Amino acid sequence: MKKYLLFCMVFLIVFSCDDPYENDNFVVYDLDPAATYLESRQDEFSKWIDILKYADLYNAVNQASKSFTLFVPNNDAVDAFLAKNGAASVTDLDPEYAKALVRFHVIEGEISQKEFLIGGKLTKTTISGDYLSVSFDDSGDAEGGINSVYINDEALVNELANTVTNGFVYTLNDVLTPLVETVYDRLNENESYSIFKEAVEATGWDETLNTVYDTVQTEFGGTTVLKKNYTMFVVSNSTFGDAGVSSLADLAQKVEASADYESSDNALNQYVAYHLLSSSKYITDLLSFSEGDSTAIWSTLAPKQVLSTHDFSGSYYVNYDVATSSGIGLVSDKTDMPAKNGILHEVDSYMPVFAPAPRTVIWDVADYDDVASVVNEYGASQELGDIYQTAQSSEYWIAFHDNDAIESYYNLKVNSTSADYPQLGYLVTKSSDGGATNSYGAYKNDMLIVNLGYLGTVSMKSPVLLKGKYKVELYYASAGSLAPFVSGGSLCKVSLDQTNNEVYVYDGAAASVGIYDMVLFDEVDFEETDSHEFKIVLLDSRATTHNKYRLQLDYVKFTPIND
Amino acid sequence: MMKKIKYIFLLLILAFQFTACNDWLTVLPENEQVSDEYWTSKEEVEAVLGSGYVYLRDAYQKLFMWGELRGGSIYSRIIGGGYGEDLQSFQVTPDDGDLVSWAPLYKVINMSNSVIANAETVMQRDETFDEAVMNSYLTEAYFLRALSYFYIVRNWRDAPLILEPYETDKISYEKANSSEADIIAQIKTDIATALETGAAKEKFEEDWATKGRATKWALHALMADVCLWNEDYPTAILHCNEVLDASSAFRPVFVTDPTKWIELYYPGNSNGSIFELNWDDITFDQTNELSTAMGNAAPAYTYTSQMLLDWIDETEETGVDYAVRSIYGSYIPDVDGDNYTDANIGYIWKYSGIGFQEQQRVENDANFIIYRVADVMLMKAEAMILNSSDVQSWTVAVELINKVRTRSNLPEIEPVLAEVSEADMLAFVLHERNMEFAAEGKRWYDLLRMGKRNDFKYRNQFLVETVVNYNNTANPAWVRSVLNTDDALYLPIETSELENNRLLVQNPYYQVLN
Repeated sequence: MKKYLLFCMVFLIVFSCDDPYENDNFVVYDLDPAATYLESRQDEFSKWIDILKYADLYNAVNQASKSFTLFVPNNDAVDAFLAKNGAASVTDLDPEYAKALVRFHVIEGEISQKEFLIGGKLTKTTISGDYLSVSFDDSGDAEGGINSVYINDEALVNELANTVTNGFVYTLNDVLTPLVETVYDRLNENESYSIFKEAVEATGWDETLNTVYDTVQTEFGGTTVLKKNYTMFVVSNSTFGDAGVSSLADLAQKVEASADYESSDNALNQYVAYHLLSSSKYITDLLSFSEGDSTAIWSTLAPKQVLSTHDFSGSYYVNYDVATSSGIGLVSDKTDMPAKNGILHEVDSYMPVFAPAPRTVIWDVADYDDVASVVNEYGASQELGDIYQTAQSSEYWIAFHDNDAIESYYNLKVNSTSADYPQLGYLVTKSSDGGATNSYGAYKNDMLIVNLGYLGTVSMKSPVLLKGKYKVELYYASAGSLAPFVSGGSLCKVSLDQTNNEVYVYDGAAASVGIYDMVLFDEVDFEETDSHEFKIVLLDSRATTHNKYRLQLDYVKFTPIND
Repeated sequence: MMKKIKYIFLLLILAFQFTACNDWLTVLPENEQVSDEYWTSKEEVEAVLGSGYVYLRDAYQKLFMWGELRGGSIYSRIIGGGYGEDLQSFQVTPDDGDLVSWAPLYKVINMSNSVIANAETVMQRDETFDEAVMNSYLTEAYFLRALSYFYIVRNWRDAPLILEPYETDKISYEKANSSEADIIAQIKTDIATALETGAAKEKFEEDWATKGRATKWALHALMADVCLWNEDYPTAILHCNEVLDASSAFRPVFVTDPTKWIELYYPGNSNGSIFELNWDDITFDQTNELSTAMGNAAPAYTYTSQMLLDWIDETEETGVDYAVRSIYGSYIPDVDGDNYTDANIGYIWKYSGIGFQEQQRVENDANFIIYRVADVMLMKAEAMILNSSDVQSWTVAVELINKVRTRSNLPEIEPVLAEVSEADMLAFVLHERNMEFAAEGKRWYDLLRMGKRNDFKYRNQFLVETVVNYNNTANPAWVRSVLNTDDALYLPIETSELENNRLLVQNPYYQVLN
């Protein structure tokens, strides 16, 4: 036996393999999770590590079960930031502020370099709930391209998308300033707005303007957190001075207010509310008009009061008065002032309550503040970013079931239905050209879906309309699957307050994707400036039996009729 | 019994020993061409030369993407399919693999190098290989090498200049970058060497080969193009004239009949062509994706919105019935032809159409044109504008542009030469090139050449703002920012190249990338 073994050994030696890679070196790539990765670059990022630890978020960003995108300022940036804030070391920062700061620099989820370099608002929020935006220095003065990428126009990005096991690390030359101030804080910090601020406090609006999130109970005991947004037309003390107002008392007198400032009927209360819109409107939003128009009407938080914005060949006004050929201007460099829960614009007049002339009003029936919040929250959960009124690369149908916030706008009576669509929902349209147009040609890229079954009812409040006579038209979408309803139409009863009419929706439309219109009322007469109850009752029995039944409502158009 | 088991055991061990490492015992060195056994006949020289053409043809998708997508007239609608979207978004990185790999071109260069290095030896071994034939092969090898380096220099600027074939392991694979100037000088030397022998053919026996292999005309066209890039305008004009003023019966000619414009593409290898990559489905079963990646059946590439507007304008200038180069020629709209002004998509039609109106080719074997006479004419126009600003010189340029326009039934341009600027004149050329050579892999090089000449004098007008205006997909601020950075105008060296050749230095713009 030994003999055989020896024999085998000899053979093994003779025929043993050469390792063809014997003298080659192989590079092994070591990857660490985010925080450990930063530790490996101590000399550059030790100070940010200190802040991470101080904010107690160091271990959080090292979790393997979640992915993160970290924006990490280098040591010089942190030093400059501390110096600016009068802090000698990291521990001099308020711990809550440090937390907010770190949360503003971390996104849960991965943002690849490719996605990052698309530019504009990122599609995922930071942990603090804010969207960061990416911009590029295209002046040609500096090294461009990947060497001139900025976040929030504030921090230069040094390194893009370093890969770590749980995401990406971007390094920055500057610390990002988190947006923590509310609209009220913005008023409070600016001395020149003190009279307006006092008015806001006296009338109790300060609490509203300090709200960032509102928790809403849902029907089954759950809660939804909604982001609140406001637009404020703020008046400076010097502008008040020009109107002879130098104190809160002067202002109260000027608007002829009684002493019960907190009552919603009070003139001062109404004056403040008249300066507020219940959503964030940047100047570009305020000055975007429906086709061929140069005036837009906005419902304010003051009951039954609207304000108007105008673009007369490049001159912008608020509440332009045809009688005096003058309007209120926006103070340049004092517009689009951002706050955590909205935007402030300074106006150059004290802006009393004003009744603009009747205008054609386009009412997007899905244009309610909390609808925007709910839709954007869905967008964020799908990592699409803010998708409200923004066409996407594919279509989204978002159901509004049992959401108290939504149902405060839409009063429903729901019956059984065979169609597999949301009973009430929001349709985000699809765009094949990067958002410039949508496949339906729908106004504001969205629609309201109604699928409530036979005798199902939805009613909703129109925006405030100035008193007068109007022709009322409905704009809605059709599609191929709606062919059975296109022939002959689908009966609905529509009403505006007490005025009723029976109409056949889809009659006259084609069974192909597009927006079609029909007259709901040839003439309605609103005797006072107010919002109105718009109601639709589905009188087509197929609303219950047909599996393709639904209404896709785009908008309602009110055209003033001049006698 | 025991003994039997032992034998079986022993046999098994032996069996395993003999099969182990089998490959390493029997296979000849894979990394070495056995040169002594090869290079014995002229047929072998021609076969290697043929491989050079085949490798160049294999690179056609890259030639298309590199030449078009950054230029913004054409864009990839498909993300993630290997259709080069990172080029149009100006987001290429060294890790983009094939998209930024110059390997397809170095393959061509290696074949050329082999022919150039060994032809002489073969001539001594093969009595039937006479010097004239050898020289003729050499002109083709020089052409292929020069053309490949010209693509390299336009895309990477700096690259290793390799002039010896890789036939054995004795040649180091590590080689440092040469500068743009050195590469250009080598290209010019190669073309000059090829032209000097007078052995370059005016035509080949087979018709396809006259356009599918390098002729004297192809060498002149390439030289003109290189000189234009290199800002050597008098030489560029000289070589353009060699083509345009030739009297040989075999010269390529500018076909002026508008109805014959489509023949450049179908059937191809037309009189107006100088050099094109050839495919032949029926005879050789060779196909490509030019008609499927473009065309109107869910294509990867279409014209961008601005380019579609240009096509609509051009169609309006001639009317649909006389539009040879625009509607049903270079593009078709996504709507009925009569409503072409309502189009949302402009499909690329050159590689799909076979005649006027909506007829479509059956075989997917459209050729890819690299040089044609109209190109040489517009090169000459460009060189005439830049070479001298006197009225005579510019008049020649205007006439050349107008010949190309007239052939497309378009009205002539009539600039008042005393009043227009050099930039105005160049804008005419650039516009005409954009329309005439749409989707022929030239647009980006045109913009880069126009933008970078004269120390980037026209960078903003011809490069940055043109791309911003035409690009369909990228953020304008990003495009401006990238295009204002000199190094970012060129591609990165692919990562594996850097790992294998440690003497290579990455383009500084891409060094900060991770």
